[in-house]
Amino acid sequence: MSAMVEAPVAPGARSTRAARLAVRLLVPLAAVGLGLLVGAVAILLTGGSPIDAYAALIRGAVGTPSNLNATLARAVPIVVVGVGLALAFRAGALNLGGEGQMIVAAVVTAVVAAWVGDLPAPIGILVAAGAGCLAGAAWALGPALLQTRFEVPLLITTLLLNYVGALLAAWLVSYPLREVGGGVAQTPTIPDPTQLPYLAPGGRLHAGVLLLALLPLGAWWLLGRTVAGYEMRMSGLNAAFSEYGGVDGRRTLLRAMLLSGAVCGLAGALVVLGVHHRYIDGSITAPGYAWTGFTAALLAGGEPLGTLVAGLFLAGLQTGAAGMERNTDIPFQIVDVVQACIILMIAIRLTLGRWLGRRLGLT
Amino acid sequence: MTPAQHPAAPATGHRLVRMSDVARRFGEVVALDGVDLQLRAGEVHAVVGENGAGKTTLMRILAGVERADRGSIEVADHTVTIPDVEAAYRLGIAMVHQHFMLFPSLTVAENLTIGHEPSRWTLFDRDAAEAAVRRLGEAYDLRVDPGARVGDLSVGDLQRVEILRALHRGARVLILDEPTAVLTPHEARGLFRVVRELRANGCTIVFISHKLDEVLEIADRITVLRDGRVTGTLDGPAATAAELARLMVGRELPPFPARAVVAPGSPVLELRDLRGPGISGLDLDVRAGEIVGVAGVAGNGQSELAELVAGLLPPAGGSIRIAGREVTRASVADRREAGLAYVPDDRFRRGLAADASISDNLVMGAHRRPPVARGVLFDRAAAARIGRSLVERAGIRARSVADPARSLSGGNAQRLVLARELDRERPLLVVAQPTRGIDIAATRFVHEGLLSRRAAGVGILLISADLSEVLALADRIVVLFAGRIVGESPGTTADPERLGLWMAGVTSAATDDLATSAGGAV
Amino acid sequence: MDAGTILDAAILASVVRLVSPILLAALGGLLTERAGIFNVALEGLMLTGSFAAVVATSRTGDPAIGVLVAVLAAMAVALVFAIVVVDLGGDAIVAGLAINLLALGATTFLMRAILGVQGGYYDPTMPGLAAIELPFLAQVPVLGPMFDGQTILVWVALALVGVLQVLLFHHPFGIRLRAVGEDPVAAGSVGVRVRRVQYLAVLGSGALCGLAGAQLSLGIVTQFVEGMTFGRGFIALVAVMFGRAHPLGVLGASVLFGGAYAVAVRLQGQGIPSQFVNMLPYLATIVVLVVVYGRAASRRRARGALAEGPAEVEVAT
Repeated sequence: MSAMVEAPVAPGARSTRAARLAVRLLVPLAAVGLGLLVGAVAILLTGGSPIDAYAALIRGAVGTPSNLNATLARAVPIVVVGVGLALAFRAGALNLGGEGQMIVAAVVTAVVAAWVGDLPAPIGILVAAGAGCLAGAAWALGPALLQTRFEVPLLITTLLLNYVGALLAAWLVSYPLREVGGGVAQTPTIPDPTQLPYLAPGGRLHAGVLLLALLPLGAWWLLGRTVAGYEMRMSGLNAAFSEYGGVDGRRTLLRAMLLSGAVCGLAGALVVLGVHHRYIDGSITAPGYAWTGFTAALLAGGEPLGTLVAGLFLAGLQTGAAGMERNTDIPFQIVDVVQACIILMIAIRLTLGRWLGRRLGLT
Repeated sequence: MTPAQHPAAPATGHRLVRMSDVARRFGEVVALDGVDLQLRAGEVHAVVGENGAGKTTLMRILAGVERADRGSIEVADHTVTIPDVEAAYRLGIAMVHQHFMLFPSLTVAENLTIGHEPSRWTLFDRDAAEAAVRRLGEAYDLRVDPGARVGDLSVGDLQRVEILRALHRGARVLILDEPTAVLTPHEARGLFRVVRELRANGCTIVFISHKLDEVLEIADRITVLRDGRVTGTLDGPAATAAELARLMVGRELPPFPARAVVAPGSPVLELRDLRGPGISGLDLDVRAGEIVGVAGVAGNGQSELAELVAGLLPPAGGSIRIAGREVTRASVADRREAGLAYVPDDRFRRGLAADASISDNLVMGAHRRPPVARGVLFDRAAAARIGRSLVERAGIRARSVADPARSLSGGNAQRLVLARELDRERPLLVVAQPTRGIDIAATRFVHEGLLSRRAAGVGILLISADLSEVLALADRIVVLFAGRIVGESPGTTADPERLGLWMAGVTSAATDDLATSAGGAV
Repeated sequence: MDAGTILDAAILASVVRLVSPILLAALGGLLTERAGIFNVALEGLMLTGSFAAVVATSRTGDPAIGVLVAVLAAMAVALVFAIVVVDLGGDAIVAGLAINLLALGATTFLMRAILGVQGGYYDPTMPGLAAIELPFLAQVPVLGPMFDGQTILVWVALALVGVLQVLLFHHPFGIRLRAVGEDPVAAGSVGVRVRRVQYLAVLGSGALCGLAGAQLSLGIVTQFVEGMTFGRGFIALVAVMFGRAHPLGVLGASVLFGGAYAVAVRLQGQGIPSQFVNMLPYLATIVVLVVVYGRAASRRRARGALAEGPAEVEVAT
């Protein structure tokens, strides 16, 4: 997000740290609450009962160990891509190309995994995932260079490259990389040693779930505890200021976009290595991983640890919606509407925050 | 001023506008504290005062741009409320703002009639609009090509368009906010003619200014504001500069600290034939232990000069050396490494990140060196330590250095920027408008800081639009006009009048001629 | 020789057909751009139009009602966008993206709730927009094959280019619109009702995107497919920039991008995989962006101005 520079508040507006923290938590909570409210209205309009529906949704998300595992597994690509996008946002780069970066990385991961199937398990996985990261970074590099060299707005080029990436991948798996004899557009299954091992019976919770803990922590450390992270944050908050302080804006942007693309690419690689064990056309786009990750990053204001929390919540919403559909006949796409409303509320976060703060007497 | 210079001053005097007990606060800052002002029909009424005295706020209230917290307004003996600009227009009151409210891509006629466009068959009647511009222009001797795009006009023309628009709306009370600040002396002459023309036509003109000579020349009556209060209302012809100055200067500049005698050392900044945006061929040296003041009317290349030295604008030619190192094409970081500290004039846009913590703001520029940087790591504890110590020494009122800079008041935010750059052990300090918009205590902090840096052997390039500040602090003064140095003088023996002529673009060769016939075309 | 002319005629007609939705959406984007609102929501507004057009037509059997409902539905969504951006001080980019996701989610949700299908809706009995036959025009070379047999919305799009040209430069509203886009504070200070102008611009762009969506789902094809706009709204947004927010410039840019679609369709006919050639319009759009911004950037560099942070979207006039 671009830094919103406002005049400093007068000291008369008594804002304590606790109050500010409360507003920072309240705004995302209010956004989620209002989103769910819109969802409830939509359920009512289609003749359902919001209470039954949301109860079914909660059961579907966390009601059984198996459902919980499904939620955690779903959260992996969402949180990873969310953290990837958050890293770019914090540096002031509006990377909207998470989907394209995931897709390209997923295809490359599937191809490389097939080559390195003979390597011992962890090495093969690391090489394939690393290739995915490189592919994601490469897909993000173009828009970053166009921004730094020609000032072409990154947000448009990354958006457009989502479509190019989706079409390119569709062509690749329909023709040159297509599984021989397969009915659908997909690559062959990757070799066993390159498949992420499962951590729980039931075949859902793969080892990639460890990244749920590691990656947000790593991003948090990078942003808060390294010089490069400091420069990224300052560029994101006020580019003119950081340039004045000797921070090379172009290099910081390039660095942030490469990092962001690599992490988004990792998310795509995880879908291949941990979920489908191949690249299937549409397997990244259809579940909306990237845009859910985008929502998580926005909800958290670009904070990696917050992105984890928001990503887990949104993943629960999605797996829960599938359960809700089974039990109540309400189409699971209702959560897409809820999610869009959440983003709409985040768009007015400043107004919302001021209003909430006033209502609750915090600021 | 002799009465002869007020030939058109009508012997009117009936009261047209009366503002009583008007008050306005912004947060904790009291802008207006119970102001009374009366305007008579057909007079030129100057409202004078220093920056921040409340002149503009008072007039914005009359023009419906701002609302008063308290007080009443009467127009032609009827109490009125002026909630918005349209209401002011309906009362015949219009304001020409310092920043023109014009649209560069629209034509003069479009700008002039916007909001009240003449139309035929619902379409914009361009011919009628252009005819109206011509008619008004002829009536008031304010000629502008009605078909020209406003973006192509000179500043003087822009002001004329603004005045024409006000007249087109039927304004009888015209408020001009610092109208000469953006004009060349020649254009200012033209404006004065227009003001007299308007008065002759029965308009009432409010002339906001802090330039005494102008005010004495043009005003029938003068109201002086200081710190949001009226300190006096005088008849223009009878007023003297000394009296006005006494009424205006409520904010007494702190006595300047004694200057240590420092023998200038080797050059820490060398500019040779520097060219770039706004700057055309500049040669200048700053030596260690020396303050070089750059005086000039705002907009003559001051900001650009600072940004060129700081590496934030690309030079088109020439060379820059900082502490002996060639840095013409070097990055900002390299210049800081070479020995630059820099206080930018736009502290809020350039000088800080409002949403970053105070300590993050205070270590900017020092964040790549120990103790803040430990290898690739950013030592938050060290940053907080540095932050706390600076906050304490600079007297910044903050609850915690982890709070965002946004939580600071305007004055404290300015101190933050100044404290950060003044603290750096760098041989060269570039400061642009260091005391603009800050109070006396902060001003003293800045001046003491600058002089102590000088005493410590730092070379300082002081760019300031405040001539008294430059005169008081600088060892050497150069005057910038249209991107060039047009005059140089030792600080101690500087003659303010000569500097003033240089600032108006009058070069030494012509000084004598023009000093005698001041006011001639330049 | 004969085969060549037939093919050329076919591609010309195809260009006109494929240009029309881009052009309609881009003219909508022009309105918001001129009002100073960066409208990423074009994509979602268009998708709303496509969906509403198909639902209404399948229910009533009358494509005219379909078009009307498309316009109203897209305007309703645009109203949400306007409330958020104009009145609630929302970030236009985030809000626009939210509108896009809302349109995508709501259309798939409603497709299941109303039409009871998933993925796409196709009803062979549902009529599309009629092809307008113009016997007198059909005889004219080049123009005949181009414009004979196009839908009414193609003609509406072309007429709107002229209408907007007049509106922008010869109507009081256009003067106020341009003023608001250039400097909303100044516009407010001279008595222009900034909010109203911005609302009208956003609603107008909603209406035009509704037409664009209807042309897509009732004119070019006669069906609705989940996410069928597939980035056309973003391409229209670039057409606004490339056309410098001038109606004629936007027409030219739309022809360029629509042409890329037509070339893709043509290449597909010659056996090149559709996924591959369908990348063409997006790549063409990116190339155009580089040209537009590259020129602006080098001009700025020549002037020696500062390059500060992410470039804002500028429209020169």
